[in-house]
Amino acid sequence: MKRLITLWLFLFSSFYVHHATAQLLALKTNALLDVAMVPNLGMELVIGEKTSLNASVFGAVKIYGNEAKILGAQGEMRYWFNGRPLTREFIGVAGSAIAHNFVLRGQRYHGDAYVAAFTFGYAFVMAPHWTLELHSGIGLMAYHQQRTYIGDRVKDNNYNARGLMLIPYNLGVSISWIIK
Amino acid sequence: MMKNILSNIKKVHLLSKTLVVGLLMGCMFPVALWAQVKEVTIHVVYYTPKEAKGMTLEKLKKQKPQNGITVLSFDNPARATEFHKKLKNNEIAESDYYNYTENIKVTESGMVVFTMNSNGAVVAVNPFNDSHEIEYLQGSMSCWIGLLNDMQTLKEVSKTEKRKPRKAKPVPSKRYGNFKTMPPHEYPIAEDWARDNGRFVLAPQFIGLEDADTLCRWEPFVKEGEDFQKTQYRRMGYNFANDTLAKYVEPGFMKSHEESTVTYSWAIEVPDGKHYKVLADKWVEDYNHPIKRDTIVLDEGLDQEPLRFLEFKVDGVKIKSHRYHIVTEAKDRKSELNLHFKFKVNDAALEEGDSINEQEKRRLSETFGMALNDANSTVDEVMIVGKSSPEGGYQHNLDLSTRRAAFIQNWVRSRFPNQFIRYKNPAAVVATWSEVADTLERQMGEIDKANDIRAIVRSTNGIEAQNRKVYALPYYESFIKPIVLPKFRVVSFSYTAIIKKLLSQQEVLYLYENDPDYRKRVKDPYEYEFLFEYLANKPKELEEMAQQAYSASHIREGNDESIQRPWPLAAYHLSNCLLARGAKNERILNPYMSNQYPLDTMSFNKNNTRQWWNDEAIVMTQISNFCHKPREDYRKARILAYNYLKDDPKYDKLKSFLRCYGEEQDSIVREAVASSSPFNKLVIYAAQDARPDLWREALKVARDTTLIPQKDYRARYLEANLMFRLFAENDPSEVFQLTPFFPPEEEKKEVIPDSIKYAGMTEWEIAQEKMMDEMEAADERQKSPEEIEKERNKQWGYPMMEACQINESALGILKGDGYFDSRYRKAFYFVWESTKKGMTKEQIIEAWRKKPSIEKK
Repeated sequence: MKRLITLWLFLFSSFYVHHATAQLLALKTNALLDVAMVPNLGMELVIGEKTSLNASVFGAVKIYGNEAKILGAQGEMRYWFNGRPLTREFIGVAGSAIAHNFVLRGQRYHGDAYVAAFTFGYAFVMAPHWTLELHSGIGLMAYHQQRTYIGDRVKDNNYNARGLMLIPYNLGVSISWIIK
Repeated sequence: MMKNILSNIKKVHLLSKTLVVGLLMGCMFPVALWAQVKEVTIHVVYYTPKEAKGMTLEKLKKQKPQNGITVLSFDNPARATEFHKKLKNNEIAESDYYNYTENIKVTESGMVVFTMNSNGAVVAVNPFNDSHEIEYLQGSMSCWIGLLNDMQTLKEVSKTEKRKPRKAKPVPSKRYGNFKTMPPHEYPIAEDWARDNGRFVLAPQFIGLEDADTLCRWEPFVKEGEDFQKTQYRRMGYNFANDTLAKYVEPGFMKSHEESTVTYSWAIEVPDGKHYKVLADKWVEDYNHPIKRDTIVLDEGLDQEPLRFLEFKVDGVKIKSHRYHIVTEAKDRKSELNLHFKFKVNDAALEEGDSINEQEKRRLSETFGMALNDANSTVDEVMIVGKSSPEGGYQHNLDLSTRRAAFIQNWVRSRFPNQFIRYKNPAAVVATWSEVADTLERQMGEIDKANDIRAIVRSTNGIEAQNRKVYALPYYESFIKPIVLPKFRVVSFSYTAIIKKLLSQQEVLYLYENDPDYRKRVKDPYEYEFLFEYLANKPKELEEMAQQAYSASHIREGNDESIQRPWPLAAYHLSNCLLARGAKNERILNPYMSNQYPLDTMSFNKNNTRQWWNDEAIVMTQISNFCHKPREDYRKARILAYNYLKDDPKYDKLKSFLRCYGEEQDSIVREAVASSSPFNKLVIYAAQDARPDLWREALKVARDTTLIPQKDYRARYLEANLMFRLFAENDPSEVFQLTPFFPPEEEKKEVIPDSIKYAGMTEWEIAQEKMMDEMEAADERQKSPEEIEKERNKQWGYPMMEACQINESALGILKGDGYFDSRYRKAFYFVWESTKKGMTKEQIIEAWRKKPSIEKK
């Protein structure tokens, strides 16, 4: 997992360094995740007339009193239909890597998940530097995890649950602030 | 007995009972009647036919009250019934209501209150749809009447009419001098062009009306949608500095599906008074691409020139020459004089009475004498050369030349006996035949004869032989001997003198008038200064001198500064001379004005030479230059007047005029110009485009023959202009009828012969009849001024006919005048041309009627 994060950060920063001189950079957060006690922070970098690269990290320790350790990163490439980035309709492809360890209904879920998704959304221009995005998507999640009852003793790498499932992805309301 | 008594008692009782009852009844009736008169409240409500089904009193009470209903109360129900019946049969009018009752009220808040018999009846009438209803009170204190309201059967329909999109029409520009200006004007952006994420661009260009040459492109007018503007810099690599249209964006946003506007205006200098139409490319682009594009006409090219006829002249200010006086030190001056005296044939004596000899003698006496007697001059050398013609013997001729030279020398000595004159030895020469040939060719144009003589000189050796051959020429006796040879019998007298002084004014004047060389020679500034004064009334010669002085001042000074700033006095006179003959050149006076110096002030340059800046005489001349037609530039003139002239009341009028040539025609300026003359009042009032009240005032001035002559074509033209704007411009008729272009018709009265008119009348009756006729005629003659004006206003095209009849140049003005529309021009030209062909009014109108309507518009 650490390697994944490191790789992602390396890729993103290399993009940023490459394009930083001319492109817009926006800082953003998904308010829906924030409300769900999953703090998150993202960046969006405009890389073309109609394209932008979006990346974010998110994590949680407790969600409304429940133990829920989550750490994830997401990368997304967006295509803006009207030719002006961070404005109006977009579609995108995204991928996420998530490490989780949470308790739900007496069972502990501990493992990793990887998502490949198709996303879409709409960005409202609130002000020259502010944008409100409504976005959503559908993704295919691959996971492998330990699913145990609380109190069970199992080895750390003994994954007993693997699978693929379609999930709603990237649901949220994001607020972006364009730095430059 | 008892029975009888009893029966009587019964009878009495019955009678008394009857009486008592009768009495009681009689007393009780009014009481009962009084008891029935009460305050009765009548409620009037309405219901629709749909609601009429199953209508009960309870339901009726819930209906909406109805105002404005006429309610009549009747104490007698039968009378109410009769009234209602007549209403049903439409036998009664509203005005007849009072014949039936005096108690009529109109409902307010859906009710009225009557003091009436509670057993009476009321009738409610809706005056709007004539529905009516009767209600019998039957003792009740309140009553509800429901009126069927057919109008309520219609549902409330709200129809929203879509506003017609404003159509952009070409608007004529204004013309002030050589500036074509358009005051801020709104161009409508149609709904289907407006969008939040778009940018609308209107890019005008000026194209010659006659030659279709493009003068220039004007800066574009841009309106953006809010989304477009907000997201502009989100574009990849967007740089505001590279967005050429960004600086033209107008404040405010256009919105999708809403009509918007963009404001356009211009002020452009047009060369040579040409007409330029303004076409504009318009397009709307979204974030990336143009969506719609079109080309439109903003201005058809015919400009409105409201102050075309304004009488305005810039009064010049005489320059103070002493400011530009250049002190010249006296220096050695070489003076030369060449004189030629003619002599008799074969004699050393002057031709008596020869005018040239007399003139030369006079010149010699004056100038040579002046040079000799002046303490500041030294006559350097005198040279006398005698000359004789070639005919005869050479030696003889040489002697003759010597004697002639001696003759002149002696004559000079006798004239100036006490002077020490250093004479160079008199020289003597004999002219050759070659010189004769040259004179024939150059001075007399006789080339053939000159060639004959040259041929003789070439082919013959020896003077004697040449003489013989020349004598044999057929024209020798008739032409060469009497005409050519006398030119060689002369003595030339010349001297040089060194003079160390400045020329006096008399000397300058003398030299200017008598010495052609002097005119061409570059002179000292003080000489030019004097000559400028002397030649004030000779513009051509003054210009020549001013040009010479102006050019010489470059050469004389020779440094950079003088090249940029030649002698101001010369520049002033040169500019005025050019202006006087219409060849103005504004660049000449530019170097003498600068905003770095105070007004009308002196400073010293690097060479410690004084310089005047912003001299009012020069500024005024420059203002005249800018105001001179053609290519007037009132804008620059106004800048000069306000920045380079002192705040002096004497310039107020000038400043007012210059301001009114812009768009600053406030009331102060307007009245200042109007007060200058009645004609200017007419012009300036007519120029107030947004003030029809002032147009009417101007019209009065134009028609007032005590203020403006009737035969002034400009006044008639302006009258036509005003009448068109006031009475014809909004004429709804599709095309103009031609009748307004003809003079008002006098009413033709049918003349009935007296024998018929007064047939069968006595003398007294005839006299009475005639008196009545005269009174009627007098009444007709005495039309009120309003009536006369009204009739005159109907003929709104006729003043233009008058203007063109007085001066045909009005036709040319009309051709390019943006105040008139094309249909006016077509109609007018049609009438004008037809009238010139001798057609009558009826024929012209008939011919116009037959023209296809498309040609009339």
